[in-house]
Amino acid sequence: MDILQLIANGIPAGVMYSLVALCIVLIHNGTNVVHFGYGDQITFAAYLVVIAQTLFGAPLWLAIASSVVISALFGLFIYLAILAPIRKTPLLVQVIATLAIGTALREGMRAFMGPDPWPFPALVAPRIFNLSGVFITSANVAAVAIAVIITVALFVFFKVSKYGQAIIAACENAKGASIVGISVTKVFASIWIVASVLAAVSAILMAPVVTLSPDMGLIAIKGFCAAVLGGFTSLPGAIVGGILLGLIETTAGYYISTAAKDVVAYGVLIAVVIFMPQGLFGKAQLKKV
Amino acid sequence: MRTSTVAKAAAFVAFGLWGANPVFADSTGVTDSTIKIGFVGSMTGPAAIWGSGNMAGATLAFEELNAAGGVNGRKIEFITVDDETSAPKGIAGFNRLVQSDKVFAVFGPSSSAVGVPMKATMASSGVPVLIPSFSSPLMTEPPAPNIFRVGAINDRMQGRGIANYLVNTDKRTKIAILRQSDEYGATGAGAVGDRLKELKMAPVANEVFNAADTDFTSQVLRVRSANPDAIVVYGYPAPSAIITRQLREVGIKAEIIGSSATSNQNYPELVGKIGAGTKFVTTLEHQPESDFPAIKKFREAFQKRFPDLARQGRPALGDTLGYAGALTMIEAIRQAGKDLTREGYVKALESMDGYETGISMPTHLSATNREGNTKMYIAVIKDDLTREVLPGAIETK
Amino acid sequence: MTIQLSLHDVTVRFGGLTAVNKVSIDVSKGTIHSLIGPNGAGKTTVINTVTGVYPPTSGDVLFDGKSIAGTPPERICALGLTRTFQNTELFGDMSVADNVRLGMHRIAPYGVLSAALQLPTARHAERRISERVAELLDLVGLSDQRATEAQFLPFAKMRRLELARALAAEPTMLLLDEPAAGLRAGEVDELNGLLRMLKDRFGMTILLVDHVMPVVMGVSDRITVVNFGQKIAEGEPQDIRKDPAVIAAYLGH
Repeated sequence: MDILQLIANGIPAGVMYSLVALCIVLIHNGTNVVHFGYGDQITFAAYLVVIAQTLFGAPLWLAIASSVVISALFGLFIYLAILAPIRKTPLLVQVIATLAIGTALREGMRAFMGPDPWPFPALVAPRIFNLSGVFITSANVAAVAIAVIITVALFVFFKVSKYGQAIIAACENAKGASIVGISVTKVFASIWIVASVLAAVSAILMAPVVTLSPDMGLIAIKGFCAAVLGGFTSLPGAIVGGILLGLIETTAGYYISTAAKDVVAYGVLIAVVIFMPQGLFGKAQLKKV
Repeated sequence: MRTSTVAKAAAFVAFGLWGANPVFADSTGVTDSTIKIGFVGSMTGPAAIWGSGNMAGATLAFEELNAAGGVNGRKIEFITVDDETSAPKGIAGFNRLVQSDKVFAVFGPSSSAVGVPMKATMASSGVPVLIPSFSSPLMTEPPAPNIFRVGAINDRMQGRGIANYLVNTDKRTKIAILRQSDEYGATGAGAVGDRLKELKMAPVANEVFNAADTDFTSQVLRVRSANPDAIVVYGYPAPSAIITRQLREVGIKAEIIGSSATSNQNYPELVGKIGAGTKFVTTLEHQPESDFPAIKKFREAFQKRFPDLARQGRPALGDTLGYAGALTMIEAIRQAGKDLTREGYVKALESMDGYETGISMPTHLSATNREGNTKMYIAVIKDDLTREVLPGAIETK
Repeated sequence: MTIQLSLHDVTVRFGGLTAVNKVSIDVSKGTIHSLIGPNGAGKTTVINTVTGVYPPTSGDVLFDGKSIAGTPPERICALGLTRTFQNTELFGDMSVADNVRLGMHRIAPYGVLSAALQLPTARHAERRISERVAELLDLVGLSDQRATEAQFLPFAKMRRLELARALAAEPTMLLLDEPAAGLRAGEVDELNGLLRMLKDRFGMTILLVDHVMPVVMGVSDRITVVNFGQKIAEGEPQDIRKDPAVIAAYLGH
């Protein structure tokens, strides 16, 4: 029966990685930048909830709403004030800039909110469901459910709506997009806003489960791995990559040894990079002359 | 400078027993009215959990002292350096304090990851170092003539104490160990295993986890398969909190005991209601939130001095140990007398046998012992998420 | 005749290099105007300046009498001026039909919500768009490949798809950057026919940049010749053919 428990826990653990991977891929597709500060943006959004609650006495719903709004504005700020002005510099410069944003957020939160972990309010009342020996927590159910909703919403947005199509078009070919009347600046700004709103949503799902501390953003490392597994360009790939990574980690740790857990999980990752450089869902890049 | 070649030579002979690193009878950093004390510790980076508190606590102690006129007529000048939780920066910071700031003595560092790599540099400098919090046994084993630790308990002793408690007090027979994959977890959990062996027992499971991981299902289920009656979780607060939750979430009812890293007062809330009944090691007989008079006085003074930190729910363990460590340092300086030298200060520390700050464990040092505290308590998280220290210090031998 | 596009003493410098030097061109409404010149003469720079890829260093660009110098490409598109690219800039992962559909981005009426909810207005709009896509694909002869991913089309068809996408925006003027490069003789004739039809049937103004003389000479009402970033001749095809400066430029004197 332990295999069922492994799956029941491995999927929600993986969903956390998926959410991070999803936005890293989204930002990368649009702007070519791998956002190394994304994990810290999630941490920042989680602290915004705590700040609103403890410093301003806001009720939970208002704290969450303000976190979402501030996080979105912050994403827009990152793009307009930092990354757009340096978009013509070498990619390395832009990547270092994202690292700097992350470090500033992390150490800023450590200084302002203290280095100790903070208790984070649970979005759903903590309960444990016993399904004939397999235990499932309400927090995990909520995490998976909201992740599914986000995935479906993004799918509908990108497949059905004209704006979604415009974003995909601008990500694929900015020159071609601007000539058909799509404002690439607006598209990129909206990508940053969407990714930053999702950072707040992830924060609210993640913090009660993985414990809020200034270093919570380290989970982004797993998000990057999930993104690589999924091909780094595909949104469904990011979701599946995260869940796979979660399942591989839990099962490898259980059936082989907990000490070898990372060796196996990252071994799989390296194997994917070597034998399927496009990842599980990636496509061969269209080469332009 | 009052240091003479003769004094240096005398000190060399006197401390020759310690090997190649004599503590000279010098009074660097001391004037008629001031003493320069350096602090190196982690104020940023992951180990800031301890470093920022050590500094805040010491700052308060020194300010109180200075306001009361100082020690033997001298006020403390406190110079601080952030090691950013990086050993190379810790070494550079220590050298700066010693070479350019020319401090009399050093307070810190604050974490094993930074402190252990710094040991050789600190030992060869000869500058007296007082460690207020972290727990790697390597800092005192083998002892260096100028490096002391007070207040905290080292991980080897702590591991032995946990095993003693579970076997002798709680009469557990099937003990599982879950430990962090780094030096911290290896040392502490290794000591649990060693002591169990001496008690003719073996752990029923021995699992490893990474401090930065967020899911511990595989470890937890392996522990469940071993069907233990007690589980030792030896790791930092964030992973320990998740593990404690996940152990309960898969239906494990066994007793859970955490290392002293989980003795911070917001830990119960991190775990949540599900963590009621969890035990942990503490080196404070009275917790920072308790109304024990000395603690209460300290807490009120701290919150008045650092309103920003009070907002974060402090003082916490690191603040308390920093304050207590600084009080111990001040006491040794007082004992060393008006004619303050490093040699006199070291001798005063060595002569401490039961000195009490009122808020931390008594300090017992000697000419051969650099580990000031060898005792610990077990505390338990109650149903309303308050904490209660169980009576009776635990033997760590 | 009305002037639709007008370049006034346009100069473009990149650092120390002057790519275009005081070039003035007037393109009359409803005509096909060609811009020719040897490789590196500055033709593509002129097109990029007109479509807002980069602003002119000095001088002005007027479209329908209004200055568009330094206006970003997406706004220029909204004014009714669009273009194709020398190496095509299609959305390779998308189908042929979706590429054309995206060409209608600025005129497609419906929003996210109404589309997601399949409201009648959205359904109606969607049907109109589909009809228009079918029409345009028919016009460029790509009806059979509507579901193919653009990246798998042969190059000549990519060109035609890009033209269809440009037309989808309902422009009044087209800029075509070397549409005939690499085409076979038969394909050149097809292109000529298409360009003439656009001019005659839809009254489209076209600024054509090309090397391929059968196209340039076959369809142009007027030709401007540039070399080393400067205008060296302008006139009707038969005059340009005889112009000694042009002949010298092409022979490499």
